[in-house]
Amino acid sequence: MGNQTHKIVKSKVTEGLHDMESRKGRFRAFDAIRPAMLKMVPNYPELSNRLRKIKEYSIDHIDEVIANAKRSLEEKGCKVYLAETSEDAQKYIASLIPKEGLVVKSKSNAGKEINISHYLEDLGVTVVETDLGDRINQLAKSEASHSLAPAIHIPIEKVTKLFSEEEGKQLECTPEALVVSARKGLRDFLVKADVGISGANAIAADTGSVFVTENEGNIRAVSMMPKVHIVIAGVEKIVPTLEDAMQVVRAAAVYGVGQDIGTYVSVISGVSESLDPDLEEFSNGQGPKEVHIVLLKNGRKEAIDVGFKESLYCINCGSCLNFCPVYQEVGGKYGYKYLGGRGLVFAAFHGDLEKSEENGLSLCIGCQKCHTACPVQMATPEMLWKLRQDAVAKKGLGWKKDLIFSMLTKPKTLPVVSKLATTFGKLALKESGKGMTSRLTFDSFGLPQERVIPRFSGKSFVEIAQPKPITSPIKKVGFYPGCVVNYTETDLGEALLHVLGENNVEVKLTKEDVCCGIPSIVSGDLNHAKSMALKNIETYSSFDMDALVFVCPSCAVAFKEEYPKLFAEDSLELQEKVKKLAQKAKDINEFLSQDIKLKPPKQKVTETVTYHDPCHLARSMGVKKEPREIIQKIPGVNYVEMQEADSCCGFGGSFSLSFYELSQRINEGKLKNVADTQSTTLATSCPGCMVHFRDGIAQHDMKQKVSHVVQILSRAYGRR
Amino acid sequence: MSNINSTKVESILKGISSRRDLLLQEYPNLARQVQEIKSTTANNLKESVEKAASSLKGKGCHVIFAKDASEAQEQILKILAGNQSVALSKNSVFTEIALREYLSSNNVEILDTDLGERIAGTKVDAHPWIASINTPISNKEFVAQIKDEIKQKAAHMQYGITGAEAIIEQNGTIALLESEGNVRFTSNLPYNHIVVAGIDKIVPSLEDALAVCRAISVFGMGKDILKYISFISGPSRTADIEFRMVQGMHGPKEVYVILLDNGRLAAAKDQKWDSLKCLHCGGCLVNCPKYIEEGLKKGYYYTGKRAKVLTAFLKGSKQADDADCGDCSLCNKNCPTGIQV
Repeated sequence: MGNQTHKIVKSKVTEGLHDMESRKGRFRAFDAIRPAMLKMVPNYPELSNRLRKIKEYSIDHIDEVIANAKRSLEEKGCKVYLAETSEDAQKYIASLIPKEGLVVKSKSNAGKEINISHYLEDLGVTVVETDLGDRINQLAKSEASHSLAPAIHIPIEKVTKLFSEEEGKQLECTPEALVVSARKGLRDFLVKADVGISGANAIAADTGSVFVTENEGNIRAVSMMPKVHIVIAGVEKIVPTLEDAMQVVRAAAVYGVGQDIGTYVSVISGVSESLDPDLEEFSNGQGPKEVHIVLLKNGRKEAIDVGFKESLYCINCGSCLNFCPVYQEVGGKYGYKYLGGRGLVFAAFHGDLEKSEENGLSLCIGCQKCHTACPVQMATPEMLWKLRQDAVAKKGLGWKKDLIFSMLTKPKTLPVVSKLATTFGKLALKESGKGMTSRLTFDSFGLPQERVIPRFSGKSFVEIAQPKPITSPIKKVGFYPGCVVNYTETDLGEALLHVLGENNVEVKLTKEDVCCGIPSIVSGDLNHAKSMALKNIETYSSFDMDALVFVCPSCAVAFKEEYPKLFAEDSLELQEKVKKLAQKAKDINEFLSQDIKLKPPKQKVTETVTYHDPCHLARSMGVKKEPREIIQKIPGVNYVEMQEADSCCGFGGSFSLSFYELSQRINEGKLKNVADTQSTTLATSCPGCMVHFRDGIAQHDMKQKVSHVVQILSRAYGRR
Repeated sequence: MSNINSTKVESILKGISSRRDLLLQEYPNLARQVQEIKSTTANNLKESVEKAASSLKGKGCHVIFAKDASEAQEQILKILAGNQSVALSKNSVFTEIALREYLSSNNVEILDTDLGERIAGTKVDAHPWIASINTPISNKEFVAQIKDEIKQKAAHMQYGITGAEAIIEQNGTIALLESEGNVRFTSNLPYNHIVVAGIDKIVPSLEDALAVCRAISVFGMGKDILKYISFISGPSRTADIEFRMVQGMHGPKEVYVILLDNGRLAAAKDQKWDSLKCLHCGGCLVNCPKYIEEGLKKGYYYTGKRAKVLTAFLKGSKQADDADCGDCSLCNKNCPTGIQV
């Protein structure tokens, strides 16, 4: 990604971070929706898998499904238009609307995709939004701050002013009075409108049925009152049967807003019809006379062809947005037409890679909350990583990252950097009492003056470590410390050796290490990543060990998940080696809980401890209860669970260098939850999270100590 | 005169019959599916009523349990609270509780929104879905005029009354099925929506309701699905202003559901399952010679041996117990819920 593009993204981030009104609105929605969704989802344990299968089938057979839908819809009296591009769709729709006509519209992502409102308005058509939130934004000339509650950021006083002006009389400043006014005003437009435009949540191919769901009743009105009804929908909305479509609307309610079902689900199967054929000849029922279904292709085929079909499983429920830490803080600036990471995949195939980059391809922190919140289990971060690879292949990495990553492939680099940092560091860095801070600001390196950075140790951990020899070990393990432990958090390495020693586990170390490669992988730089991976694979494959343990789950994920992917096309011999190593890779909490019988810790540790789940550990590896169990085995510990313990700390590795302010802001939300527990120690299981929390805690004058689970256990075994 | 009419009826029924036969090749399991669904509720009627009532209340509906037709009539009048006009869509339940006569005698003007009922009148229920099946229609302007009148009046109504094809126990949802579009606006435009439904309409899930709608469409009308299914779960709501919840945005502010017993609980107790499984889809009428002979003139309820089931919950004097017919048994073959007479 070029420097220019990075600047564009940074300015979008800054703008988003400083729009506090929108943020307030978003959080009002989150505070209501998050708990509702978390409570509702467990009531429908089969729904997600069922829906994923429906979408997989539909997209794998997309041509067939489109053909069936077209036939069924036409049999029901609809006109079906398959639009190759946005422009095609715009022109077709415009042809159905009289000059200076009146259009009433309900919420539609597909409509936004083709920019239909502005297009029609430019032609002299009056477009009235009927969803209350959209209508408020229309009158206030403001942008939607949330996908489902778009005007939530606008204070009621402002709404009262707008509606009073619209109605021509002063209204009471209560939601009830404003709703009465809006209903009256919008009903008037609905009665007079020439055309109604809606989206579709799903289209059933067997019967030619459009499914729409809502709480207000405006989609019913838009699709019932005007003589012409136009439905705009991407081709991925088509599913085989009525029953499949019902699963889509169920999931939209359960995952998107935490409701069991929307207040209204309307199944519209064509043009209205009197059941008496004589009457039908004269009247065509009492609903719309014409129903047009505009199906959008607009780059979707291309997406499937190059391996991004998963992005078409999306049902636009918005669940991911309710949990994405980046969207939470940056808002609508993250995404393109479709908000959030999913929108960036869309941007790549609707526009081009550049569009995707400009709208935040580099912003995904990789926390995977979207993946766990998604009803179709879309692996959005994986798709974004793939796009980053495409970007790097096309345009290179940018000189900073290129330099750093190529240095990281060499085992000598970091030891040298570390020595230099300790020797000459005092010139550039100063001891602030809380940690090290930079004397000068290096904003473009993510180092503003107030950032507290870890102390570099003079010698790396693997250089100085001396694992205790064990006479009859119950297990033999290798230990991969990772860069943070090796060069700054050596105490964590010592604690690990101590804990394993106490449990009669023999530990083997290497004298020379390279970075696991995750920062390269995440940046899309496969060349350097492969270089680092090969060195690690060579080193550790030669170890005779029962397991390879990690205290950093990001490094563990590199060995377990990413190395097999990196070499999936290589020689079978290499793939075998990588597979064997991946199977041996274990997070230390897993190892201590499952592979051995943990020696009961006897030393009291009098702390109130709360635990933060690292993203890679909780979601990529599924390890959540083991660290908590270990902590609670320690005598003297008062364990308190914090709110949203598994939400991202905001570090994201190199992310915190590229987007430090955002990284901090995400962390601030976590700090509040930490403070609420009144803990004395914040425990976690990732050195990256530790570094970031120490920075945040120091800057906010908080008192919590930050420790790895292994360090607390080590204390309980009598170290120090 | 009746020859001309029976030609119309015959041609409509013939169309339904042949379309139905084709569709059943595509959906061979539909009848079995629906039979299971209706049996489930019929066998647990009392519990189903309690669960449904609770779910409906949970969705913000006012739930009224009417033990008989009189109570239903009175409750509806009470809800109207002095209002002198109400929009009504077509449903067999209104005949069952004799609603039209009751409201008229209480000075409430009824706007029938079903075009067929407006043209054919509501004195005789010629067919559960196609009111004008036996009425010649030749005047295009007249039809257009009526349609316009309905549209104009409906826009100003404060109260709309509909029946329901299904009441979903799990979610507290009401399902309405139609092709004309008038049930949609009767249930969406006025501030108050009143639903009247026999407790036999209760089904466990949304998917079950979908199956019932498919069965009515296929067996009753020879179509894979009618044009509109509206699933309604309580009053219209919005929280778009500062996330503060308000009822009655575009749709109704209040939804009243009258769950009608009128002999159904007794039927369940006595294990008279047939009357509780009837969908009033009209499937039994399609190939029935007695329907054309008798049902068209007296009302579709009085069709051969089916009359026993169709009139099961009508007021005492209107019931038909021992109607005779030719015993061709075609109705038994054509019934989606497997009712054998």
